[in-house]
Amino acid sequence: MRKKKKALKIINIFRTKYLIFLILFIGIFNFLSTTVIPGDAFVVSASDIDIDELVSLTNTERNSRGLGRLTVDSRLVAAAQAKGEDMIAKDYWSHYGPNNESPWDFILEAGYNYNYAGENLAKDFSSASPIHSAWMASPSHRDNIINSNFENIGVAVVTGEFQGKETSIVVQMFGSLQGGYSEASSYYESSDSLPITGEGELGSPSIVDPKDGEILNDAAFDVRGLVPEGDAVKIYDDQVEIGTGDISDDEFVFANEDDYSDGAHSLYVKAFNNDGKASGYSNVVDITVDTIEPVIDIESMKFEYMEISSKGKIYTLSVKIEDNPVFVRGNYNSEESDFNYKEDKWEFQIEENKDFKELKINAADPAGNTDEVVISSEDLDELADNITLVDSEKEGLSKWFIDNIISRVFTRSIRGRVNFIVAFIMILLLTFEHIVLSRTGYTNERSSPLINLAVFAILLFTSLIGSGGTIL
Amino acid sequence: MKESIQFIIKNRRSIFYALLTGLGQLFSIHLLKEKGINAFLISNAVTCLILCFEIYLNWRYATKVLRQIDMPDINVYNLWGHLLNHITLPILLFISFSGFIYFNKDDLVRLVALSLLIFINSILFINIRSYYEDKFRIETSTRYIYDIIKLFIFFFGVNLILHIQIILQLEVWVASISIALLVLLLGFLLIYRQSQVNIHTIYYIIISAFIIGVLFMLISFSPILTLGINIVIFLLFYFDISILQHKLDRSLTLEIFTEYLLTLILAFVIFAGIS
Repeated sequence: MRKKKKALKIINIFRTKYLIFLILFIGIFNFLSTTVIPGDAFVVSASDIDIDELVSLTNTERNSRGLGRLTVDSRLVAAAQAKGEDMIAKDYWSHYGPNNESPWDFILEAGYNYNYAGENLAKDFSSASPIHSAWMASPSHRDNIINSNFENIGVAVVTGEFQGKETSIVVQMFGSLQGGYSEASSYYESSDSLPITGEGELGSPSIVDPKDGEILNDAAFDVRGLVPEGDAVKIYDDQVEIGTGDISDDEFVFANEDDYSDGAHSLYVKAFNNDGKASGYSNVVDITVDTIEPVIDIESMKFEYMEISSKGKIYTLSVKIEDNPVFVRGNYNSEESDFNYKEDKWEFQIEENKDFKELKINAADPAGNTDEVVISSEDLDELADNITLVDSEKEGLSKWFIDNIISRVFTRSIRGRVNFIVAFIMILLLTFEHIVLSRTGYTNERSSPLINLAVFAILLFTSLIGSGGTIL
Repeated sequence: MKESIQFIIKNRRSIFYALLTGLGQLFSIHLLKEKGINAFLISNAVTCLILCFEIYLNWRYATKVLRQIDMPDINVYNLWGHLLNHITLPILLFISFSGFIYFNKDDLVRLVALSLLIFINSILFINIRSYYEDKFRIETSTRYIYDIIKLFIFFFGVNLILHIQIILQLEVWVASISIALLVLLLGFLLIYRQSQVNIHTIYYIIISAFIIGVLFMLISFSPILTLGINIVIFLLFYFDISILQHKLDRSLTLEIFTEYLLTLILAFVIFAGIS
């Protein structure tokens, strides 16, 4: 009897007075530890999502795979910010805007002339760790995070009224400025220096066609230009004279007897008259001749993986294309969209829940050479049957589980941590209370500790989800 | 420790079936990732059949085998009320949980939820078995699982309704009515199991469902995130069902009412700070 009384005395501290104290303590602590106005307690604030933490988590992920660290690029940050603001202003949740604005448009507008670029989106999250975990759980987002081609990163969190609710959108953009082709780098930069020239006695000619930086798929082009004085012009290719052009009405034309070789050429001309006087050198025109067509390697084509989204199944098709095309376009179900370059392959997403349809692929290099193939629905069916299983986490499940739990508990704000720990302590206390009550038999005189325990367990569980955000 | 091991050995059959359904769900998650929705649904349907099979075997054992060997009759007091709970609650939990793991891509959250599901199913199967075997002590000590299971069904169920509402772009009132119906169903199962279906308890459930449905509609128009709505509605249901439980037990006192109210406030305060 005495033992029972003692037990009840102990658990009495968990009763009303204790609860009031705890509510006041946590309430005041939460109020003091945040700058969020009281009415916004449930609204995710941009300040709750730590951008540095997202970058750090990305780099940690890359480090563990032996990949290079990404450095924050202010242009990518600006692009991410602009993209987020655009999504909120135009109220769309997609990688492409209502007017078909692509992520690459924002990156280019920010002055980042990418060779490779990628974008991850998230919304409705309250902290960085769950966003990163959700991205890592999705193969296509994970591919961006651990893509060896990327060297820079830019992250922005934009908060505003989105689809009728106050929401924070996280835009993570990746890019690199070196290697590979892209629309942005499809033209070579012009030379910034002229060959050594002497001051001419005649007015200098100028090359009008081809234009500086142009990439040509015709190796038998004419060189045309203006010549103010002189009776003939000599044409130079990489400082080697390749012929003499005809002059007519202050204009010259030069047709090379031999085709130009594939590769870079540096052209300039010099005018002469019959008296032996010469002009200075013309402008230098750097061009590239590319007559080799890209080749879509059908044998290399396969489905990398398949994901389930709210729209249904999304298949990621990959194919290798020789001759570094500048763009690859797919036409599926009468809708045209671009392939994305990833490592040595080009990837294309197909949304399909029923039977596959025909897919047309068109690849073009910077010179305008093209290759086109048509993949039949039967071929796509066959590829889907051989879909590669996603390479799941190689590390041990228990280590992954524990690391993730610790990461989610301890990477939140101090306020979040304190509340998490309080909820956890409540679970322990309520378990203790249940044991004491069930042993003393006084269960009917108390609120059910197990029901209360379930509430705090669900609170902890919910906090792991991270405010139910979605990724794209 | 020794007691725990003995408990597990004694109830190994129930724990085995709970683990089996958990593994079935885990396999379903794997199929969802690799093969898509159809494979996920088929795998889930098979797992659900295993669940139903265990419930059926328990019922058959109770109604046929025990009588054949002239064991004492099971406590037939409101057998149908119990039977309805034994069938409906696990299936509802299974469906709402399947919806939750389908819509939440986060593997960590899925695994934590799966662990909870295995634990809940273990206790539930133990309770069902002990009920049919007339093991009063075990049945009484595990009876609490019905209250807990209702909370989890409601939490996962509201989550599923919210996701379906977003994906199908349903009107708020459709989701609101669905949530009210869920409250009605869970409340009815509670009063039926306790053989207290009367005008007062029915009114209580109908008014609760109406209030929760209307509050859901109001909250939906506020700038609270989806999971915030899920938690707010869940906490209101927790308060409602706890009070009803004590009313049915005739153990509701002002002190107990205050405790639930304060726990509710504390949960709100913690949720505001934890996110």
